[in-house]
Amino acid sequence: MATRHQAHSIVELLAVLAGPAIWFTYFGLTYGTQSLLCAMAAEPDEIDPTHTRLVALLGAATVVALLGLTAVIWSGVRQHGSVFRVSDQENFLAHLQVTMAGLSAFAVLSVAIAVVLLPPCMRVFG
Amino acid sequence: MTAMVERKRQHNLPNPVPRPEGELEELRRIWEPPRGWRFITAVNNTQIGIYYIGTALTFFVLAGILAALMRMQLAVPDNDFVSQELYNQLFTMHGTIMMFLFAVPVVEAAGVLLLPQMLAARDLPFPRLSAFAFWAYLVGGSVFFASLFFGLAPSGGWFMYPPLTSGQYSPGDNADFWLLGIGFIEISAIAGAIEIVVGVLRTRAPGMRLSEMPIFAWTMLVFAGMIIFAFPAIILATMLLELERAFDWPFFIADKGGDPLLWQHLFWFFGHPEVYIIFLPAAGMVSMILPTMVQKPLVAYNLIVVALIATGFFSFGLWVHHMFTTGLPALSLGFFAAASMAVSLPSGIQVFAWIATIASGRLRLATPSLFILGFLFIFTLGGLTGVMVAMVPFNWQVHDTYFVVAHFHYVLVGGMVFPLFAALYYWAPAFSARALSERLGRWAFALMFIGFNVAFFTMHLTGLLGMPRRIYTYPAELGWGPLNLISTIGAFILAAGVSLVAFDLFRCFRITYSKAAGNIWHAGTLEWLPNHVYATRSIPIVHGREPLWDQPDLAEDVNAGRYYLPGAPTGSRETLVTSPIEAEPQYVVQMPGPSWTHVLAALFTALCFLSLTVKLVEPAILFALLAIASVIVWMWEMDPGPAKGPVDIGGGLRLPVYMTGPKSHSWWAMVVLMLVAGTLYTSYLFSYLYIWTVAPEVWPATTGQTLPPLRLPLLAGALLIASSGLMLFASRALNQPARPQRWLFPVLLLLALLSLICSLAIEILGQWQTGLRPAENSYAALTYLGAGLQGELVIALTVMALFTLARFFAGLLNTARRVTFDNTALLWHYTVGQGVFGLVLLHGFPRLVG
Amino acid sequence: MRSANTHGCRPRVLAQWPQLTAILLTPVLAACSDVQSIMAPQSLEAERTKQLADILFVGGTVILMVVVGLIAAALFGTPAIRARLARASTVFIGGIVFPAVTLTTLLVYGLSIIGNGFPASAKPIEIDVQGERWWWRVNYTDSTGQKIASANEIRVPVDRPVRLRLTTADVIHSFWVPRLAGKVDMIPGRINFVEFRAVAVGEFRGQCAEYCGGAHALMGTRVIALKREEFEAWMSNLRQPAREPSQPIEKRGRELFLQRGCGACHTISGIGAVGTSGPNLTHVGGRKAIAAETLPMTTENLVRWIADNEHVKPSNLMPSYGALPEPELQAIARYLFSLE
Repeated sequence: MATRHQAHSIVELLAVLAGPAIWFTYFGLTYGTQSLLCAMAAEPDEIDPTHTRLVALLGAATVVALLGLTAVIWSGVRQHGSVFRVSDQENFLAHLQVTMAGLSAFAVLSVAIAVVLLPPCMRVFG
Repeated sequence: MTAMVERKRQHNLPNPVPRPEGELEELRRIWEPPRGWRFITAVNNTQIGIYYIGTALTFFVLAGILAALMRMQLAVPDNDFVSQELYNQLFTMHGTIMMFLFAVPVVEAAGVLLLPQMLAARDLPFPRLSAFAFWAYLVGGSVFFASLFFGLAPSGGWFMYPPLTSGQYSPGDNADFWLLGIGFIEISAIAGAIEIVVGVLRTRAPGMRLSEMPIFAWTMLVFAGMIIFAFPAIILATMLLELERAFDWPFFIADKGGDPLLWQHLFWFFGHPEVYIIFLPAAGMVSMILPTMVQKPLVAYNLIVVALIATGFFSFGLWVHHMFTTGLPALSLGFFAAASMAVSLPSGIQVFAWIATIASGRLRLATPSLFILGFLFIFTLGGLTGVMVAMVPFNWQVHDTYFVVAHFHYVLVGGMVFPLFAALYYWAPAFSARALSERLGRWAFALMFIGFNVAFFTMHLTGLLGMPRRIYTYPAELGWGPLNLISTIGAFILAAGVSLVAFDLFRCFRITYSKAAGNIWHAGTLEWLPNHVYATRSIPIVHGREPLWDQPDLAEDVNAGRYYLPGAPTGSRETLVTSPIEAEPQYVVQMPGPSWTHVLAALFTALCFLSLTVKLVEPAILFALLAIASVIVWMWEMDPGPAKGPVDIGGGLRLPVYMTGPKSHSWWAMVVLMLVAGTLYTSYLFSYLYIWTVAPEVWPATTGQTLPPLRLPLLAGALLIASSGLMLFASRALNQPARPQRWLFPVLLLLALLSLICSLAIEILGQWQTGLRPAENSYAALTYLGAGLQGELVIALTVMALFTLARFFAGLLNTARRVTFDNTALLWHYTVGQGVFGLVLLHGFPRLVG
Repeated sequence: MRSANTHGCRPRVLAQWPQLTAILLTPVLAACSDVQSIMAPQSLEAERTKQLADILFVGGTVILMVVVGLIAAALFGTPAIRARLARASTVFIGGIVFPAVTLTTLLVYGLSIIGNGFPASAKPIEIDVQGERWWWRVNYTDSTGQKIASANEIRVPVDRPVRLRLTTADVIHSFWVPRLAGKVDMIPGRINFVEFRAVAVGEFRGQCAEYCGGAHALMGTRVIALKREEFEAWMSNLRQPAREPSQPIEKRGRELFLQRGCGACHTISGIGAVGTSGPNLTHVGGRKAIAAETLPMTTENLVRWIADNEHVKPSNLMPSYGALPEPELQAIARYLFSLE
């Protein structure tokens, strides 16, 4: 058994988590920014002019997150070849990395749907 | 088998047979479990695992009895079977015990029991730690349950929302007992998580790559990872609540700039992942049992692993969906509705992977299979109602009604209890001399499945008719009577099923360390290798996911001692440590045997917390000191040093018996602990910023509160950095043992400690001098809490530094044998980092927003 | 069909779940069951949510049936069917593609109907409702901006948007009248709102939905939707001070009410009782129930409440006055009952 450098294998392991980590960062930052800016706005149920900027910010974050996930998928596919060979043991970690990033992209897009459909900071009255 | 093949096989295996005389006897002697009343001192995972599961199942039954009492009360309208106050205590205890004293511990226990066997390790890497976790849990849990008999049980609901649970509205000790019970589960969960992460990543059988790891090990790895990131939030929340109750630090009091919603954020940031913390290991059990029952490998192994990890992550984006009715802005709700959808995908993957696996062979319809089929139905229904409650407007209606009660029982009982019962029937033969009764098992399944659905499906309807949860009675005109009666009948049918299983366990389950009924299902994974007190005779080289199917002679060869480490070359308990991804053997870890120390540590910790709960401060301090003393004695026996190595484990492999730095398993444990500390501090950071957005008016800019002059935090920061620098020098001094200045290392270490303590003192005194008092408002409380969190670490490091010094003077710490120092240094640098960050936050942020 | 008969006995939940429940539950569910039912909406908002619920129930039932069918096929299907099911692509299609499509659709729909909940352009009638342990303090605002206090029962005009301004005096409560709107929490330090437009005249029961300790189970409320003229008439009565007693026993009751210190906690405007920690009793006789829907409003129940409320509603914050002689209790009850 050839001993591989441990640091290298840890990087490989962490790359598997890159997709969901991007999602979580995206989710935390967008939700946090949104809550923070809305809390700082004077009247919760009045439409504030800065919201256009907030929406732009959220949109930009979505694009960045999706680009990041694309990069993760791309680097995984480069090591791995076909994405759909689910029983592949050889490139196990690369396969995990790609699929996980794909799921994360779906999760990012779900959040983006909410951003598109709902105006920020508006309270709902039942 | 022909003679030639036989020779070839033997030739390829690491160790020749016959094994030397006395090797087996020595192995047996070293691993001999303590007999008689000394069973308390046991540390081996098999024993501790079985005690652990037994205790957790006992709590399951007890909490079930509480539920039965509630169902009696609700069977008819306007009933007075139990009083209002007792009912409030019953549902609080039922929820708390089921979640904290049954569900989390039982899956952790399953991990303790099964993981080493599945990975072919002799034990978990820190046997006394899991034993400590168990005893802390047993004592803490029992005291908590006993509070019911003294009218001291909490009655705030299992999620204990303040201000209902604050000192003002819950003045008695009852709520403190809740905090006590939870405190123990926090300790044992974190201890278990450390154990499991290191165990899964570092003690797998050689050759068992990550891609070949049993799914249960994957689920336990994700489970442990989730505990590391979820539990700190509840640890912080319980600290805040106790500080508020005991010392009036106003974190949740709106009039003083606190916010009750902070509790909800912290609680559910833990609470939602908690559901998956419970569910994932159960799903892992299903993924282990099904392949055996169809005698075919699991379909879509990779996708299942993806699903597990993705669930782990996505479940951290769901917490607000318990808070949809709190009046948050629409988009905030939207975020969490979206994440709720995303988390459904991984569950979908798993359900379909199981269906595909069933289709790939012929399912043997034995009891475990029945429970799994029941699980599939119940869990799918629970998942579907989960999607429903994630729809915001629908949630506004059904939130906190019996619809939600039905939903989460479908998810938890379906998702966790049914797989657990499948697991009981499936794995019993691995640890018991007899398998459980197939006939009783089928009856139990039928009763449980029918009873469960009768009881809980009905509750969906009760909820739609408008019945809120947590009400002890209801008037007849609301029309909920008949449905409730049906639910009660169902609950008793379910209870009958559970009793049958209990009866079966009493009748058939006989713990054995060597004469287990064995692989009656013809399973393919390593826990079915012949087991003894020392686990397997030798540690196999593994190829593939079902080694027992792929390597037909494996059991025989392992048992003959043909594989690695067939004896005990260091003369003590030991197992193989392998690399985290490819599982290449790295070293042999020496492990401790039975002991009283961790038992006493657990007992004194429990007594300390208990005294605090009933406000007896002096005994609490005494017990705390005794607990620390026990831990010190315990730890003194650790860090054995490299003297007995390197040793031959077979196949020409000579491995060291001691390792320092990042390859050491204890280094990994310390890193995990630092992750926990980091997450705790991040939760604090969140609370700090959150409270500022809610109540900027209590910040110095508005109140006119002066801040300590900048030179103080600058000085404190400089001391912190100096302290880290001193530790680096101390590390170098330790590396040069030949030098005449033997005093250099202790002096450097003491100076480092002094700087650390002074830095903390400057911060606290600086704040105190400005006239700021923690009970004043939420800003003040958070400021002192920051110092408090730092203080906890400083206290821990003080003990560790003095311990390190003592070992140095005792000659147990030197250039080669230095893990004790290395671990202290790791935590030290983390503490300095956290301290510097804290100073920037507490002195920078108020100035920034002022 | 929007019926004014709000206590109609047709169990509507059953109508929504014919396939699953009719067989099993019809015989048992003979009682009136839509008093507080989510499935019997009487406002635009609750109606919309019920439509969503219907979609979810039908969709959920179909998916559950499909999954059960697939499990059955995996167990008992022909070898060809099982071979198809055993492929990894099953997992990919069933576990990823199908839920991704359905859930995205559902998410878009669910989120877009949240948008319907934004404040309507028509200016709503605003009523303050404050959660207390364990009752509801209600304040109306008249056209001059003056607050008019009441408790536990909320009257609203039909077909007009009503906005409740929700706060709490102590712990977290949650205001919930299922037939009119979803629940909204009352949280210390925060102001929340719920808005609805009742579409039919009637009485709609609700109750506290967030566990608030003690007598949480007995913290009910009732929203009464009236025709506009009736509502106006009722409001103008509410604005008046307490009605003068007409009977001697009622006069006696008023004296005793003051003498026994009831005014320390309760207000009855016009007689000098100005306490505010308990419910305002100026028009208590006009309410339909005592102690937040715990007992129907009758003189006997008033006597029982005053003398023995600790057993009627354990741990409520009013002392029991069982020590008062029966005639005194009677007099006070008669007086209170007369306060319409």
